[in-house]
Amino acid sequence: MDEAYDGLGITYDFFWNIFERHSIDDEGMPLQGIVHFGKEYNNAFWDGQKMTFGDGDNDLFKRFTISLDVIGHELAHGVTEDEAGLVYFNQAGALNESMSDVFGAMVKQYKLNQSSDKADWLIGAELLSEKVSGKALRSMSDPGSAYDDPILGKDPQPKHMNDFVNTFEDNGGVHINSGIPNRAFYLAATNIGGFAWERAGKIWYETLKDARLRANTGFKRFANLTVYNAIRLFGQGSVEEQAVQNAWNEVGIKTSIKEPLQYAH
Amino acid sequence: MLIDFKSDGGIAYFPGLNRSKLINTDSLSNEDSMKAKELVQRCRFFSITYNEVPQRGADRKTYTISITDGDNKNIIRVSDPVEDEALADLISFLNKLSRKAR
Repeated sequence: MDEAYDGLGITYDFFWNIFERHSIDDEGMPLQGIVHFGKEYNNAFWDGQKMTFGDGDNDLFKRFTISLDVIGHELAHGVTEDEAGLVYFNQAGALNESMSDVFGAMVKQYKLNQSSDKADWLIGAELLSEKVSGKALRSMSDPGSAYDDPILGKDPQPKHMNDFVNTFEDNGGVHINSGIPNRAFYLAATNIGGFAWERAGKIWYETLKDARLRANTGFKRFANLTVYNAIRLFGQGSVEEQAVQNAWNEVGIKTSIKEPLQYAH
Repeated sequence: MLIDFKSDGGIAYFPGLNRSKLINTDSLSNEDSMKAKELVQRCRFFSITYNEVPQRGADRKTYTISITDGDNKNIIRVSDPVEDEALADLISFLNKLSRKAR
């Protein structure tokens, strides 16, 4: 319980100190978390109102409060639902998942005071038991490399659009194809340098709040909006804009700016 | 009694855990077989109807359970958190059986 309480507190502090966001709804919504859910429950989830964490079966998984980025991931689902309502299916769902990994990773880096080049960019690095042949649930720097285990199988995340997975499993592959935008964020953050939340994180957060981020937004539209927001925040031709464009290009998404840059925000 | 149990979703996608499990109670130990039948009866499985698709939230697990016992057959789909306690107990037990069968 202390772990969940502390993790939610650190996540709140991160959103407040970095983005001046007052909780999930930016209006001070109380953070409610349930721990010890079910029996040997292997999961953590956001149900639209609160976060729930299982204790794990202690065979494959340890308790789901053990990784700060997992706590940050679940709370960030609430932020995404509040701001953009990204539909939990196909590319919009994968963006929803990616936003949670992006903020979850930054919460951990913030706690550790880590610059982007020092971070491990793993999600749930503490969660898998010693029996499992793997290092985490996901790798943002190298999607598809987090685990390869006889029981869990092989990490199916792609890191490039050429390997995009079309499936009805996992709500249309929301935890699978999130590897693509995850790697784009990792590339943008490490190419810009410094702390991830200072510039790349700011661009992603402002994109999440952008009124043009529709509920059914796909990867390309999201990528274009990150470029718009990089320009709005740091200027056209800035290092940040270039880094964001290059990051998306490297994962197989060519950005284009066809609309006027001026818009109400 | 034949039980087809599938758990989908959750905080990560693991190909090895996402497969449907077919459980024949005749192949279980006496204790597990009796427990499975008792839990199926207790949640009145053959008379409940659930076909839920969560409207909000993320990382929830969705369970698809199909059970055939003689002429009785039913299939349901529910997502966490499962409010029906008797059904939640059945799901927890089926998860346990799935783990044993790994």
